[in-house]
Amino acid sequence: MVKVVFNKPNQGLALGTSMTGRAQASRNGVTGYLFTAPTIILLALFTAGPAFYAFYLSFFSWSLLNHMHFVGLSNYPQLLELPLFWIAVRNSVVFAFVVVPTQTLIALGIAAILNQKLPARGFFRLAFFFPAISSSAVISIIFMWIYNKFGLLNSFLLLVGIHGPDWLSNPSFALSAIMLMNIWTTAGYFTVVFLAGLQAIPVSLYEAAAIDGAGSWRMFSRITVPLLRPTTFFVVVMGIIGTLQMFDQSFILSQGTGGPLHSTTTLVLLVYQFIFSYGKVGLGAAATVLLFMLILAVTLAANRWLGQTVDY
Amino acid sequence: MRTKHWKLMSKGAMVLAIATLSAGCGAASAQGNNSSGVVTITLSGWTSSPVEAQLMTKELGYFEKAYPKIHVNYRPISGNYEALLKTRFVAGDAPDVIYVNNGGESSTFIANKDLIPLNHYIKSSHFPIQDFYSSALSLFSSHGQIYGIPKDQSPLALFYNKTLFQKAGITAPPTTWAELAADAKALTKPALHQYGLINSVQEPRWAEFLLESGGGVMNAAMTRMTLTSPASLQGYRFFVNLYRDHYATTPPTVGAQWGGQAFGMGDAGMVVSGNWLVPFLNQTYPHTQFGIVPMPKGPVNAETLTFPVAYGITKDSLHPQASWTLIRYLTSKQGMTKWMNLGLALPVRPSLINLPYYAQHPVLQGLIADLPQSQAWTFPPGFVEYVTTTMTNQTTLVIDGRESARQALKVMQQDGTQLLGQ
Repeated sequence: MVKVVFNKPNQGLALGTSMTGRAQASRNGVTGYLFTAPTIILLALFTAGPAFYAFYLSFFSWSLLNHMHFVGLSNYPQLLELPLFWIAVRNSVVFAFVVVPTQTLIALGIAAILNQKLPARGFFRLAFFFPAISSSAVISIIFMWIYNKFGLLNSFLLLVGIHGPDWLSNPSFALSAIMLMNIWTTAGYFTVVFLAGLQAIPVSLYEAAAIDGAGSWRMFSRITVPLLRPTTFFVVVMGIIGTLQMFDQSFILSQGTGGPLHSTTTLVLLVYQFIFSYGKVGLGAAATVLLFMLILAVTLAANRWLGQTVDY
Repeated sequence: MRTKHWKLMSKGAMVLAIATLSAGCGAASAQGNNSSGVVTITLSGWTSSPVEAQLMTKELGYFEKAYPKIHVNYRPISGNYEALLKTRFVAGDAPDVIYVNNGGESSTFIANKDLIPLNHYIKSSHFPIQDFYSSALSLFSSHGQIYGIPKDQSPLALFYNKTLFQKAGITAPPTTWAELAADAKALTKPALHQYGLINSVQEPRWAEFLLESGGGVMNAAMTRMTLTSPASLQGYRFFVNLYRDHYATTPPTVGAQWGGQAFGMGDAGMVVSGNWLVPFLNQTYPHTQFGIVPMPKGPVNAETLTFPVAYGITKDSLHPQASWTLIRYLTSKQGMTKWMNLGLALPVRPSLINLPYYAQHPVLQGLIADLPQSQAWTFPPGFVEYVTTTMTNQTTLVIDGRESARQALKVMQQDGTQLLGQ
């Protein structure tokens, strides 16, 4: 780093006189790349490289311990024929479908409230943001106690006369329990994102609307929501990516099994099990490629729907 | 946060391999002979508790005193032991000496030659291999080669809560299936969250009932599934009917993570468990008064499963000779006696069954009495997924009343047969 910073200006001086504008531009490009080289190298080594390697692995049969051998595309039809794969796809998609709209609406609602001049506003902002900066593993373990048969949630339910189920070991409730926890953890983060978006909306628009006689709901629905579109786009896309890639909460709450009866087996948990537990690296890699395609498709669809900016 | 984890995953084996490799580089440079001729080797295993890790460190201190030319780096692995070990094998940087689990992946490690054969070392150092239980030894052998020296084992036995038994007016722990079922019924009081037996429905909690009715999961040579035989069906039915009749239940019903915890909390009259439950109860639930008896006798046999663990040397070891010296020390009569005196597990040498420790701790007699009638728990390579998911899921369906015992055994028989054919 130091070397680059030090040497570049000297070289520039030496060559400077014969430089055309175009050469100057390309030299600037080179300088730019040199400055970003550490990041580019890290990204290539630890993000792009492994991603391509996962793609490459999906053409092989390998158990981690034996010799790899090339099997062409055969991992893909094999994966598509596995009922367990479709269970995982269904779990991940249902999870995303429920969590993304819910957390977006909750985050928007809380952000709109927190944007008012409330007493102790800082405290509430911290309280809502706190889950986002806590360790997901720790939160999962705390929720294991909340969801215990005789835990906090069921004790509250008992106050209103409901005998709550055994949340995490009942296949009908386990995924919903994780959804609830996930919404609680991420809504706070997106609230802060929405808050930033809200503060970028010019006050003059609201003043003009008020003069025209608009009520607060009308202002919210006609000014706030449309002008927040770029923020909403970010929140929805990040939400989709995050929920389709949910792994840790399922892993911890089901103690690595994805159970009971595969009800919490998400795509990424299945990938982990295939690769690290069951010695089916090729199948796991093929599943990551399909997950990549799924996320790409959903993100492109979200882009078409929410991607355009709105101007008044 | 989720994204961060996913990134970790997507990098898959590659990144883990690189990460462990780079971590290993540091270790490798510290390895080998330094100027004073001291050799450094690494020992890895899982630990049941921090106490076990402390005691192991102490034990290794004695070893280094006896063999000043060998330095041992003790690196216990907590959680997902075998998954982590696999990534170390991929990186070519596995620890020199590892705990080899029975069942699990040990058959895979042996089949893939990730462990080195020890016959040559056993012979050249006149190691008394004949002093070990052959049932334990055979688990870590393949084609006449020995890949692991058994370190300890624990059979499954029946733990019973003395206080609950007294309250229910039961004078003696059960010795037969009929008594087991009757006692479970007498001990069950759902209003008090109290059940006769609390165990998860994983395969090693019901396979012993199949053995006791003269059946089993597989034939002895592990070439054929035998789950659908009438004898196996009888044993399986006895187990699942305890749950269907509500005299037995799974740990989450009483808000516990595992059967041992439910037992410690005083919610279970009985639990089928191993030696590992004893230190857990003593530390976490010291007020639970319990006794241990051998598994109650079935219609044909009195049999149970045992879980031996061995020390093995990995193919990545640069110092197999020093590694062997360590294994020989830890599994010697003297080394094993010290280990047994911790009360974590039972000996794998019949000659150590009468240690004074067991006279001082009579509660362990029930486990020791179960040893002669125990079969080592094991599966062929490639069965981990089948055992952990298919067998557990099918049994869950049966106890929930969503499938018959016969149907579940048929599904397991089919899937298992298909796996054996691969």
